[in-house]
Order: sequence, then C-alpha cells, then structure tokens
Amino acid sequence: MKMIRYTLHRVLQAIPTMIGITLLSFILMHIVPGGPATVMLGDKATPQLIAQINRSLGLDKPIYVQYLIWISKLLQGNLGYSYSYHQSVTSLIALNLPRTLILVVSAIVISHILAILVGVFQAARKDTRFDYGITVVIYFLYAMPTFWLGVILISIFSIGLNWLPSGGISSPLNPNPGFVSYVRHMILPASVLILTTIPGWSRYLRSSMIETMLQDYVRTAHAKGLRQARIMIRHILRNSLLSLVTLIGMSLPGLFSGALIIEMIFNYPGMGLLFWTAAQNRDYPILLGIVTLVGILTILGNLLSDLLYGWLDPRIKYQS
Amino acid sequence: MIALREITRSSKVTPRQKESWVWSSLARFWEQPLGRVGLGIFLFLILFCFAGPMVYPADPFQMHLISILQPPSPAYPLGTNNLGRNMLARLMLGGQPSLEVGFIAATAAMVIGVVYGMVSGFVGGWVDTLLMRIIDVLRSVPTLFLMVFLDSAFHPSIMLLIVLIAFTSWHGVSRIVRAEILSLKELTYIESATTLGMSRMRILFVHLLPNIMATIVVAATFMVGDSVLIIAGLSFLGLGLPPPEPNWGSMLANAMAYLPQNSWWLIYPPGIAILGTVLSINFLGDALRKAFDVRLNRRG
Repeated sequence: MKMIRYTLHRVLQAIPTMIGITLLSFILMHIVPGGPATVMLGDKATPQLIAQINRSLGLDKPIYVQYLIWISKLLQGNLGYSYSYHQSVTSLIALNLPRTLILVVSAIVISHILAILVGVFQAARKDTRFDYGITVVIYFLYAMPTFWLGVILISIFSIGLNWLPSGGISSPLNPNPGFVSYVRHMILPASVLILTTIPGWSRYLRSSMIETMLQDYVRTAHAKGLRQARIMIRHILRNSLLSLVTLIGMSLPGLFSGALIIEMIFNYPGMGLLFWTAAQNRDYPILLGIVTLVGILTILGNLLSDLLYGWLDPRIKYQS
Repeated sequence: MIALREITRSSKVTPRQKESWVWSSLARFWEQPLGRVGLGIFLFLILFCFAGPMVYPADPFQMHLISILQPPSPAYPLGTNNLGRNMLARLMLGGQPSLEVGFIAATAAMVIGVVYGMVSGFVGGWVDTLLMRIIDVLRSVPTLFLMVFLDSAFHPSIMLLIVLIAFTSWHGVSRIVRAEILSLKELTYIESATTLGMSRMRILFVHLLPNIMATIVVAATFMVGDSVLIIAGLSFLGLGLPPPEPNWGSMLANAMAYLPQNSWWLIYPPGIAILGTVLSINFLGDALRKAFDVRLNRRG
C-alpha cells in the first residue's frame, strides 16, 4: 500500500517536470531568429512568402496558442507532421528510436557488466599495482573525447584492417541489411559508447565498495570466517549495486548525447542524426518530439530505478 | 563525511589556523603523484599553446601546395594537412581558443551554479522546491541536443559558445553547493550569527561561502575539463568555434576527410592534446578533492 502511494506520489511529481521540459524546449525553439520558412525558401525568401508559409504551418499564431495546440495534440499521442520529411513525427521516431535504443541499451548492459567486473576487482585489490594500473586506464577513458575514439576505431578497424564497416547501415542500395550485417555495423558505434560509459560507473562502484568494506557487518562477516570472495560478492557488491541502479535513469540524457555524436561519425541513422537534420531544417515538430521523448524516457528511467531500489533494498522506507 | 569536515572547519577560528589549513591541504595535494603529474602536463600544455608560437614561429596559415598531406619530417615536425599547412604550428594555435573558452565558460557556469545553489539551500521552503524543479527539467534534456539546435540557429561565435556551455552546465554545481549549504546552515555558528543579528547576505557570503570554497575549487577544476571536451565536440561537429582559426576539434573533423589516405599525423596530435588537457585537469581535480576532503584523508 505504501509502495503504491509512493509510486503515485512520484508520478504526480514527474508531471511538472514534464511540463517544464516541453515549455523549455518550445520557448527555446521559438525565440531564436529565423525559422522553417527562411530555410525552406533559401534565396527566394520574401516577407510575403515567409508569412504565407508561417500561416500554413500555424506559426503566425501567438506562441502560447501554438504551445497549447501542440500540447493538446501531444496528449492524444500526436507529435505533429514534419515539414521536411512530409511524414508524421511519430512514424519518423518509430523508425529511428529503435536504432538508437539498441545502441543505448546495449551500451548500458555491456558497460554495466564490464564496470562491475572492473570495480569489483579493483576494490578487492585496492591500492595494489593492478588497482593503480586500471585506475590510470579508467582516467584515460574518462577524458577521452567520444568523437576521437570513433575516428581512431574507424582508422584502425575500417580503413587499416578492413574488418568492420565505418558506416552506411541503411544505404539506398541496401535498404534491409540482414542480422549479421546489422551487427557488424553496430560493433564500432556501440564500442565507442560502451568504452566511454564504463569509467563513470566503474569509478563509482569501486569507491562505493571500498566504503562498504568499512562497515561493521563486513567485519562481522570476516569474523565469522566467510571466504573473501563470498564477502565481496554477497555482502559488499550487493549493497553497492543498489546505488548503481539509481544512476541508470539519470544517465540517459548523457547517453543520448553520446549517441548523437556517434551517429554523426558512423552515419548511423538514429535519433541523433534525425535531430541533427531537423535542426538544420528548423523542423520544429521533430525537434520538440525528440526532446520530449528523451525527457519522458529519462523521467521514467528515474522513476523505475527509484522503485527498483526500494524493491531490492527492504531497508528503504517510502515516505510521501 | 560532513560531520568530520564540520568539526575540522568550525574549529578553524583564527586566521593563522586557517592559513595552516590551506598550507596543509596544499601539502597533501603535493604528496599525490597524480596531482603533480597533472599539474606538470597542464603547465606544459599552457606553455605549448601560448608560448610555443614564439619559440616555433612557423605560420599556421601559410599554404604550401607542393607539400600537402606530408607525414612528419624535419621541415614539418607534425606533417602538413590537405592545404600544406604546418600542423605543429596549427596545433599550438588551436589550443588557445579551447583553453581560453574552457576557462571562461567554466567560470561563468560556476558563478551561476554557486549563487543558485546557495540561494536554494539557504532560503529553503517553496523557493528551494521551485529552483530544484527547474534543475530537474534541465537535467532531463540531453545537453548536446540543446546545443546542436541553438548553435545551428545562431551564427557560431565564441560568445555564443560561452553562453551555451554556461547555460547547460551550471546545474550540477548548484546541487552540490545546495547540499553543502543545507548541512552547514544547521550548525551552531550560523545560529549564533543569526542571533547576533547579522544580515542574511553577510551570513551567506562571509560565513557560508568560505566553508564551501574547497568544494567550489574542486568542482570548478573538473568543469574546465568538461568544457574543453564540449568545445572540442561541438567544433568537431562544425558548430563550436568559428573558422578560420584552427582549434583541436575542427582539426580532427578535417582529418576525418583524409582517413582513407592513412594520414595518422592528422588524427593523433589534436586528439592527444584534447585528451592530455582533460586528463591533466582531472588529475588535478582528483588530487585537490583528496587534499581537501578530510574524511578521505583519515580513512584512505
């Protein structure tokens, strides 16, 4: 019962944040100079033509009216119609979101596994040469610019060794790549995202585990004569994993940002590339749709990880 | 963590003791090898970018069309690009805007973030709730998406870049500062300051600010590194710093076009420069964090 009340409370709390996201993106997009009409017309732009296009796109109405129209459509699941693709935004996102999600989700899963392995071994061998060595590697990955890592991987694996493709997953010549081809196209972009996500998590896990090691119940476990590995995994890791779970939701915006650069480098047609093109064309419905969607995903991710945290850890009491 | 820090900090009353605390922190900083390495690399990079062009006065814009895409040689220590320009000279010049904008943007973000966080934590109540809700909104939007949109809507300029970075990265600091203020304002010395009739402004800036200075310094260090990464990333996408002056990010973007020619000398030096800058700043930040953080020193 408490759980349900807490969930409801959190969902209600998320609503103002959601409205805030739509407001912020809507206002930002409409206060910048220029607009879709100037992009569409290019050199042929005249005040009359611009006004005509703005009227047909509904951009001549006051901004609050436009916002209310957009938000009432959004509540019906309608994200509007793209100016440049002449398709509904929902269908464009339905096409591109899965591709980005594969990238982001595989990065979350694989880098968690690797970060846990690295973090556990580092904590177990704290202050040894192994620990220092890995720490330096992690520092390097942490400071590594995503795009540079991408460029290096392309130069080594695509151009130097010719093992993996550097992009072009959905060229007109090859509209439906098979599974194997898809995976081959995924390896480099996913590796970049994974390698740049590991450091934050493994560093967090290492320090959290080292902190847990000082707890009394760990000393008790040692005193009981339990094996070191068992203590590390059953007593310490379990506790530290809990707090790692709460990081997933909040890491989504960062992962989407990372995906944008990666999609640009590898010419991988996902949400980032779609957003990029839409930004050049001032395709407001697409831009707003994507920002809103990522916002919803982040809020949902946060909510889920909070609830998961409470479910995993019986000590957490919910208070509204 | 807070408890121990409070004890050590609130016991520092006289100026002399305060001085000795700063010195002992600096000594603890110096004890850390990574901190010294970071400081060394960072100073070297500053000298390389700002004093380097005086020592190595080759023209970074001069085109040598008979020697384009040359690998490193005595004449061109880091080779030439597609226009036959001297890459070593460009690497030096290209670092200047990255470092300058990184510093200014990080400072701007810190000022906004610290003031916002202090007000939020100190005033509390519905003001705090509202201010934190605004941060929730900003945290849920992918920063790069906002930057890509705003940067392509306006003409790229250094000023725009500074504003964009400050606008998108202040909120992390705010949350840290707010948490610190929340725990500090319950302490006895603040209570006594209030009892003595001191104004809120005085309490905030004279009594609370010095106590979160360590946190601010550490956060500011990391933020310079993050800003350098953002600048490089945006410039790589063709958005950040305006041409024609070279910068590390746009040099890498240019190198990408010549990947098939295996021109490794175009790919590695700018990347190593960015990596080195961010790495050394992070080394510095971590060493400072350890030096200032009382608890870590006792336990670690």
